Amino acid sequence: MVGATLIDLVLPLAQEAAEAHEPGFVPFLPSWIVLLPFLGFVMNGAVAYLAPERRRLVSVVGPGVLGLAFVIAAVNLVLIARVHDAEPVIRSYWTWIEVGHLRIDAALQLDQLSIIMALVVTCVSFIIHVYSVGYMGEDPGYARYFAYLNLFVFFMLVLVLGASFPLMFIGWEGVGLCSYLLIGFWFRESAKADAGQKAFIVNRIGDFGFLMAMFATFAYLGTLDFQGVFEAAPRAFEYGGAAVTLITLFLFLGCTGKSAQIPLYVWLPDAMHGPTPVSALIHAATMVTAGVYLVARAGVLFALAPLSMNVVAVIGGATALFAGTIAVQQFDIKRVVAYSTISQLGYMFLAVGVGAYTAGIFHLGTHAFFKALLFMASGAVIHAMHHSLEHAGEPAGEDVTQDMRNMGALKRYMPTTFKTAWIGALALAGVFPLAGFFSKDEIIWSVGARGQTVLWVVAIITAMLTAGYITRWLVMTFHGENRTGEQARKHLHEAAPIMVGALVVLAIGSVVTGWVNVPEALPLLPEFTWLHHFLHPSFAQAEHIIVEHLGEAAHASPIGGGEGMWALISTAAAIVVILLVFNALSGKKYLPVREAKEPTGIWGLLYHKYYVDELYDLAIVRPFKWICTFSWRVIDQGLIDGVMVNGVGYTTRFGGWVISRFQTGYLGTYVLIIVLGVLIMLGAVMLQG
Amino acid sequence: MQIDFSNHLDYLWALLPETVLTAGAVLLLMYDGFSRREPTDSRAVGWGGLVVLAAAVVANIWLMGVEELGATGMVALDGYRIFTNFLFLGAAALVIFISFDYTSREGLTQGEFYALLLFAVVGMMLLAGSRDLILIFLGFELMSVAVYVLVGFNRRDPRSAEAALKYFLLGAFSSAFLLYGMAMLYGASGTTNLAEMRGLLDGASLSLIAMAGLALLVIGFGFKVSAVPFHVWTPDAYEGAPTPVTAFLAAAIKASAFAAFIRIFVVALGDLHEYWERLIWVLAALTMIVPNLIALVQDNIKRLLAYSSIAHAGYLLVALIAANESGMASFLFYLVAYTAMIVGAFAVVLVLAGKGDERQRLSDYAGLGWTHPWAAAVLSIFLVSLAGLPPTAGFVGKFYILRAAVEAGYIILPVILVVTTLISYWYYLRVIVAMYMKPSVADMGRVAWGGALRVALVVCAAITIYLGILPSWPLLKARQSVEGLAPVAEQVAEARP
Repeated sequence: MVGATLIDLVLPLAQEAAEAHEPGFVPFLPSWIVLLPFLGFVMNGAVAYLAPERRRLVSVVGPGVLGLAFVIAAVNLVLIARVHDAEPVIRSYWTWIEVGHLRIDAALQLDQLSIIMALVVTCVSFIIHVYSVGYMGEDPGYARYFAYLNLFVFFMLVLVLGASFPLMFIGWEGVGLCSYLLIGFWFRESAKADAGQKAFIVNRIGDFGFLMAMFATFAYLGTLDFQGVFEAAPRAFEYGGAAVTLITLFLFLGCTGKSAQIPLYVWLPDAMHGPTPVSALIHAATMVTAGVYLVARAGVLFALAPLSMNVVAVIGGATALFAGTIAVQQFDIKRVVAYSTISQLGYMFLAVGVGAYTAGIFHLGTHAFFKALLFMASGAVIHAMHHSLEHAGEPAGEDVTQDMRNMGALKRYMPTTFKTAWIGALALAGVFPLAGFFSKDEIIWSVGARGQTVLWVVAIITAMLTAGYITRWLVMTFHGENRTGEQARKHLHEAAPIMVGALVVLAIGSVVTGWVNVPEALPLLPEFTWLHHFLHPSFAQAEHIIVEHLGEAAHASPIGGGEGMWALISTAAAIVVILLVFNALSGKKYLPVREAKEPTGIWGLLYHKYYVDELYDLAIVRPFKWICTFSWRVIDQGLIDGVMVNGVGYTTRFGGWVISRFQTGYLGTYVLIIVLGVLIMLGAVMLQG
Repeated sequence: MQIDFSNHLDYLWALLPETVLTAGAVLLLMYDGFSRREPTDSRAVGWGGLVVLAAAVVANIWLMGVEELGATGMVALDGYRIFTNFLFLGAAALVIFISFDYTSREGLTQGEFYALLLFAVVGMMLLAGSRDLILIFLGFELMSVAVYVLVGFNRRDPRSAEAALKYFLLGAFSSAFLLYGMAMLYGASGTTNLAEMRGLLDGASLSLIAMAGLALLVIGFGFKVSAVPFHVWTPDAYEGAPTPVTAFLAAAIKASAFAAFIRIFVVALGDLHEYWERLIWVLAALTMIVPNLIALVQDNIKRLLAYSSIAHAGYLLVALIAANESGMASFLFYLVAYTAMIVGAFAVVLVLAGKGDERQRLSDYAGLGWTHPWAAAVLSIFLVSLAGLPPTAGFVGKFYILRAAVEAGYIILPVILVVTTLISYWYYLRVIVAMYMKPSVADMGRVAWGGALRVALVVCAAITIYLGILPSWPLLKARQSVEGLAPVAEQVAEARP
């Protein structure tokens, strides 16, 4: 820790002395962005272990370290933004692994992409940590919760800032671990512990892909540093060749696990069993976007493999549509948002899949704010439901408190939550002038401009679906009549001020973050493509390759019309959908859960999420279990344990017993053994000579 | 400073660490004789011993800056000597740290204990740092005599006396082989200086006398490093000796004998590699197989560790036979790792045994993980490292030895190493299983952990973990230390088809 700080402080001085005339980007204490959350983890972990009742300390340390980390990240953003086309800075702290030709440093890479990611991560984390102070305030595992959450942010920042694939993998696995720990945070309920395991196991499949990609990369290029790989790749790989296609497909397999894309998305809806701030932080704003970041980071590799790019785009588009339709018919307040997250992640992959890296990262950033907002608004609602049902002495399990059929008309009881939820929903639906409008519009436009007509249509349909299901979510939760029950209704109340404050901050974020990148083509608005220019150095190489082989992107959509016109059309379409759904549903009477019937027909299909979980169970899980049982009973217990392990063990021990008979304790025997040894050795030498 | 061995006074400078130690040990004896300390507490003498060791460390550090003119001295001035000196001094310091409580508990408060320890260290340093057979033998005997006494230090305990007598008789027996072998080599080459001997003995005109001398040397050293079949004294001596002395035997004595073994065989007899490799090959294979098998049926933890220590001699012999630069570097690396883990393991055993060394059976360790969690955790670290599992020093050390052996073109020997390591898991993990998965039989009650012993344990555990996680720097140092000997080794490697 001290060493890292010294390197951070001394190295710039030394460099400055060496190249006094070239004013470059000098990062400010980058190691501390990573170290601070780790410190928080250590301190909160110690509190959790030694003195779990010291809540005030945890409340200060937990969010505090992230506030500081956010400040440092912001300073670095300012520093790097002041330098035009700043080169990436690699800060190496020590050599982690050195074997043969493989050398991996514990190094951070500070460039435009990693710093903007670090900024988003620290900012959203900080707000969610503050919110958690209120949300988890009465939980007995308070300190443990913050320890895990800090540890998660630490790993997330390692993932984002690491300067090589293995280091990124450390973060990648670390966030997976924390996700598992936090989904199963209330591990005493078996459904929640199971959900944690499901997430963990599904992610292993993806990690296998990541590992294979790393091995292959090392085999072909002999290095795993980002800089080295991206420098060597265009020379070493043929455009569209098998090697680079394989590597990128394996990488993308990793992404489908971590970022919940088809076919590995199934864990994310179940992950909603964790505390709601966890869903907001890990399963909406940060960890699940790691896959998008990975594709953007490895943009050069993907640009060299057009097939992989298409796979990414198609899977992204398909997931966006697929998850969007499921969201239409869910009743769990968090599950709607969860499927919406999967759908929006699909959008991001669609963007990076057509080479619109800036658009993908842009949507990642705006989505972090409005989706965290939607989750935390849900959290506030669940919190309120839980309290009111508990006070009324009614069952307050997850199935009751989270079902929207038990809600309705909450705007009367929770006015601020209601307003912020509307802002988040409009941002998600892409209504001007909220954040989602700019980022989603840019994605749809880029897809069209690349000539992907089918995907373009899919993206537009999904956008309208999005507006539809989120309006349904709003109506069922906040409008109409209240269905909570007479007794419980009296106890419904607004969330704690600290939680509401966090909602408001996120709502502001959901309004303003879109304005960092205003496309030039929009009428009446000043052109302000700051983010595009800022990120340009990080993506220049990849974009260059794409333009070289596929040509410039078009300036019109597949059926004509410019970006400005389509932006107008899409926002108008969103508003129309919102109004239609609002009108259609606000008159509709929902029955509370215990009286409601299961939907049937097409709605049933959607309600049951296309039966994908059941399909996986039938096609993969059960046959796998049979094989496992066979291996266990017959191969392992019978053959390996019985014949081989125990057999070899007994034989070996018997041998030991026999030899140990020579250790008699009598000096005479010993001398005899030694003399025999001497005679044999001398005899051997004599014969040899 | 520059040292010129043609000026005989310079030997005093070249031997400064040894001189400091000898003088310090004599002073310590005098202090013990004339002071009026409590007869039940020899702590003060022990601290004095530590001060002397520290002074020797300073002298050794000073030695690093010394340059040598000409290479014909009897004493080596190379990185190898300095590295091994540090190792012996460190091991001795650790042993003193773990001795404080033991000596008071068992009533071994005569101050000679520490003085003898220091004399033994002088012997070890001479043994490992000499370039001349005469001086090597001198160091060998100086070390041995001091250690014979230490093994029998607990006179009132018949086990200790028996161990000392066996060790002494067999030791004297084997010293004769060693000396005879040296005499034959002298007869064949006409010199006792290792560097000169190298030039005079070559494979083409190798006489029978030289061959016999070579074999006798192997036997003599084989006894001290307890290579099978010359290991028979080891379990009895280790079991009977006071436990700190056992740790000292297992760690430092073995290390120094090995260091000299390597110096003679790589420097003086490096060109004859093809003649001695088969002898050592057989010794190494036997030394890995036999003790690992016998350890499976041991019930006494001290005896179990004794066999484990014999097995480790086998692994080190593999490093010796590789005889290339990475072999010697891995050897030094392994010595450090091995010292830390075996001293640590014996230290835990020493404490848990209680007064009179009563509790040494495996069944006494049942349930220890719940009654004494810290002791069990620390012991587990050392056992896991001895077994050679990551992320500990033992794993990395074995890995480097394996790599060196494979680089040198050996295949079967590394396979034997891996298989025997696998077998050894059984008895190491058996202790851990007993500690964590068996119910406690008899309550051990409170166990006295002295402050100094805690320090030693923390140091040993820290080294074990550190070498296991960040081995690069120590390995680099080990590599630099053998660079002086390297050209010899590389010629050997090239000469082999």
